[in-house]
Amino acid sequence: MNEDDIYRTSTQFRFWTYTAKALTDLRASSNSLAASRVRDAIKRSREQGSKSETSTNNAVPEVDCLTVEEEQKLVGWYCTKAMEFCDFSEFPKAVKATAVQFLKRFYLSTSPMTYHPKQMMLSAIYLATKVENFYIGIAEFAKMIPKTTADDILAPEFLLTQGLRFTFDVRHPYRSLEGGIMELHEMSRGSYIPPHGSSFTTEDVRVGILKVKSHRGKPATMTPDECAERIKRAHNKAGDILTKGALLTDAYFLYTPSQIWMSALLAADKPLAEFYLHIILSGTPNGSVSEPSSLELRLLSLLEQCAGLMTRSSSRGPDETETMELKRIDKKLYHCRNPEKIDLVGMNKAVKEGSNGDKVDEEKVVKKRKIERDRAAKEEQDLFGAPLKK
Amino acid sequence: MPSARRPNGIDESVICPVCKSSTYLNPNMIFKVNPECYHKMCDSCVERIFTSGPAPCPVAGCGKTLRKNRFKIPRFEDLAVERECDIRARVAQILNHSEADFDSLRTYNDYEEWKEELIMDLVSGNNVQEWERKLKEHAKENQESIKANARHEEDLREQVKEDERVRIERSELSRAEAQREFQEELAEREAGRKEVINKILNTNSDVLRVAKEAESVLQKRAAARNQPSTANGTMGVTSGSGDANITGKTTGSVGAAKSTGFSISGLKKIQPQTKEVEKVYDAFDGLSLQFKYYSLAEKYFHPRSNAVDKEKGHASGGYLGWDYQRRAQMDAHAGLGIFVEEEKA
Amino acid sequence: MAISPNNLEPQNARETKAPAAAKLKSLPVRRNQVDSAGKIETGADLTEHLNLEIKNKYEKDRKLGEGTYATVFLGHLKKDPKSEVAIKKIKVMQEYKDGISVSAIREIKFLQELSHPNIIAMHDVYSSKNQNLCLVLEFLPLGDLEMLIRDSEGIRYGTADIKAWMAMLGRGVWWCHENFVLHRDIKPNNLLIAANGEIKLADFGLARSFADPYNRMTWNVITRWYRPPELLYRARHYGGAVDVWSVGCVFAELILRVPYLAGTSDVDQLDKICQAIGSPTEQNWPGVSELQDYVKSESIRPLQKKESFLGLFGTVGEGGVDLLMSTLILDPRRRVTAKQFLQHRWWTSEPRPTKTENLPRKGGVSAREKVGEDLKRRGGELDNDKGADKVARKLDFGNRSKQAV
Repeated sequence: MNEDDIYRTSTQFRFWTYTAKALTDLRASSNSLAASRVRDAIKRSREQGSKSETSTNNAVPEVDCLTVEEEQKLVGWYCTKAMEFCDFSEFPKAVKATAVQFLKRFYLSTSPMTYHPKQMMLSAIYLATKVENFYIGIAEFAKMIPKTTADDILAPEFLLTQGLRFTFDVRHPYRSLEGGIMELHEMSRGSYIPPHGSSFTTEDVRVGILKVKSHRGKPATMTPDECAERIKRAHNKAGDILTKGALLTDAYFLYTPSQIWMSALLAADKPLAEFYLHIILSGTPNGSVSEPSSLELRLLSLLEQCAGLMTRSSSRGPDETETMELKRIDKKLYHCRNPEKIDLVGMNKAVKEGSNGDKVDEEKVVKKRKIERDRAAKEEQDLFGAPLKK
Repeated sequence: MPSARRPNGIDESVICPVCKSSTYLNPNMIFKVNPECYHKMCDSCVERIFTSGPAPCPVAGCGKTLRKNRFKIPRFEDLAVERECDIRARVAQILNHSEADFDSLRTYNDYEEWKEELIMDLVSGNNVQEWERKLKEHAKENQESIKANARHEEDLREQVKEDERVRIERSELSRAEAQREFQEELAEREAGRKEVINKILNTNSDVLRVAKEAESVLQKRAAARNQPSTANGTMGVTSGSGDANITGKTTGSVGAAKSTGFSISGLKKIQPQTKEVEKVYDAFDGLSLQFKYYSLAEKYFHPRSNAVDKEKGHASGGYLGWDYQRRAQMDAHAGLGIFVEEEKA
Repeated sequence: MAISPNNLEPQNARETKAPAAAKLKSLPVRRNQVDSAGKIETGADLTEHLNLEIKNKYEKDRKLGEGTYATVFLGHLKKDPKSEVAIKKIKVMQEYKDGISVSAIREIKFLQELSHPNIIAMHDVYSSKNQNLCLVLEFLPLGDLEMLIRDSEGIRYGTADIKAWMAMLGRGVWWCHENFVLHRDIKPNNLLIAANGEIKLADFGLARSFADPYNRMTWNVITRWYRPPELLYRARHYGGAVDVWSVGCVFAELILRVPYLAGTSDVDQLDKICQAIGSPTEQNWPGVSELQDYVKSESIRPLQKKESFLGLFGTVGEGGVDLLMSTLILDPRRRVTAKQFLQHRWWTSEPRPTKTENLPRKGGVSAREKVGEDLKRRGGELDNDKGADKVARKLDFGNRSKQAV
């Protein structure tokens, strides 16, 4: 059994890794399912609200639902908000990264029309603190966010866990990057032990790494110090790419963490990454010759794809057009939210109080919901939320 | 043996029935017994009466012809028990099948029960002549299979002894080896130190760099020494030569014995000798780890996890920066060779 | 869910013990859900559907046990009425005002990721109405190791049996450590026995991933009798050695048939350790004085030599005693690792470990009830006062910035 097999046992691989096509199909189906539910719910609430009118109009109301792209953009936006919140509150990197992945995973099987990301975002962050050993009491957590009660944060929690299919472990590429950099340093220091089955020696590798071409392809031999410096630069650059590029794109769904960090290295310092890949594959069949093996070539092309994916997403904040776009989406969402899913706090209480068969007056419920909806909607009109209190 | 000398403790003394001498006067008197008639007498009587050849038993009313070489010191005080044990031993020598020879537990149990009845008969004196005759014939006819069974038992006993010997030897060896390695390391370190000092004295080179170089050389050597024991988990050791689980026996009778002797039902047909070697012990029971893309070094250069080892209360609590490095290595390589588009298609 | 060695999942056609990857278990792509009446199912999105599907795979038979934390039922797969599973229903949101409890999260998280023959397998997780979490675990009908140890009248076992059990425990712990998970509650009570005699490590409510530097962890873990000295000295940074110490204590208990180091308080526990093993000093444990609660005792008891251990534990042979001593070394850095534990020479010396099917076992009704007892306990309940203190021990969570969990 080898390290690939170990990764295959993880829930990240078993449940949350998809081919590109499967991913798009999944999102499309979630979106259309949610849209039809919204239409039904709105229809029901209109019928309830206007009982006096003998409306014979049974046509499905014209509700302009979000498209898949719009959903993506919105979720992405709230992911960046979540990251800002975590940075601001000085949470560890793991909490931030896990919270973002929780949100992304959750919205694979549901839509912002059903559950607004603003509600889910705080819950996701709180759940991440519990999972990543950074536990904070709910009271203290709620204090950090203005106009939010403990109930607001906890109400969506169960839904979130269900949407996550009760898997909490998220494997990130940060420690992986550290591991790779460690090996690179060993190589340049002449103390690297090649993998089992490799015919390279420690000395081969030491000499080899010092000869790695520069970025522009110019061959030159580095001194050990220059090499160490180069590795450090690559480390920093790769780290930056991983911070945003990996988290906010679909990298986690399409690639493994080791592939993600190596893609970042590829983007940061291509000749160095190619050398490194060649060495670590030298234990596999045909790996020890000077020509790259077929595995190596296939892997390189995969890493190029992943690197492209990550670098395409910009690490700058959204510009003018994007901000306008997001505002537009938010307004659209206001009109197509599922009215039965807005008051999560109330729903939660109802479930907890149990199915004692409490017969609740239907009309009252609808009216209450309408009031809640208006109140919540007003608060959310400001897409950017209230300014964070210090 | 108290039964021979002081059967009832220090205070009471015993009298030899033949010469009437007392253990009180001869504390070292030894009693012997002959399996012909189980009459007890002291050793000097045995010497006196039977040295010149077989003679009738001196106990009044017995008169059986006894031979000197058949006298023995009884193991049990109660001579009835002694007698029964002798009978058992004798029968067991002839009827010495083991459980493995039978095709089912039931038939084996039946055989044992029947053997018991036979012994009981012999002890109580029923049908003695007939049983004795049959036993003799059975012994004559099945000489070979009896011998094979006896050999088998002997082998088992030998095996245990052998295993013990091997184990002791191995632990000696490993101890010696460890000692040797330790000495080697000391010597190396000493030599290395001397070299460093030489270098420093003789050249103008940077003292720090020299020291670092020396350290890395030592590390390399240590790594090379320890390398064979990386990820591979199987022990690959068979304990000594006696590992074979001897199942089959070569020659011997088939099924029932000849009709003049006994017929023992349920004996398994003898299989050709299959020396089954027991599986080699695998410490990880099939799940050992062999890394594909890396070998674990003993220590990595990584400022953050190197620094933590010097923090107070971290290493002394059992936290090792190296555990972090080991984990980072796993994370860095796990899943590298997984092509999602293929595996999740 | 961790891939279960039992062939409950029809898709997992696995024969070998190696945890091969399960076939695609990602979310299936569905078009609009249409029920038999042709109407679109309202209120059912993808995960709710999946949840319902999973829930409907199983049927509960009867209750096995109930506690404040969870209720345990015996159940079976509807497709295979002869199969047996344990369904642990955790009562969510009852006690903790902080939402789903951290120990529930831990238990689910680690059981999902760890897949090994010597670790209890979790087949599925689903939610029932009222937001209760239900874990479908493999049913281990033969009770736990504690039962076997305590029943000196009914159960006899020898060195070969002890070897077999310790090997299984060692492998379970090794697998946890290879995946960088500390169990932190190893004791005979948490070692459940499967129908085929295999030992399974259970109760991951106190488990945690380890190895990240500068993460302060709580010292208040592991039931007192099985707790290593570094935790008694309140170390906030530690590693796999804490589990290895517990393994050593279980080993000793198997031999003696009574708990080896049974302290009545944390201070008394340290005292017992000093008496049995020796007092920790800067000589035999460099850096021990840096630990928070270290107190230099007046009478320093020297490290006990092998002879005294041979006297107590000689039945397992010289090799066994050597192995036991190596797990009870005071300095955690020098204690053997789980991997080294499995590679000791004792395993290949005579007698060979008993084959699993031949291990002594307890059968009958009492074992099945014990299973209910074991599973219904809250993960993370430190059984320190063995029943006297029924209230779950709250974990020390202090204030946020100095957080250690």
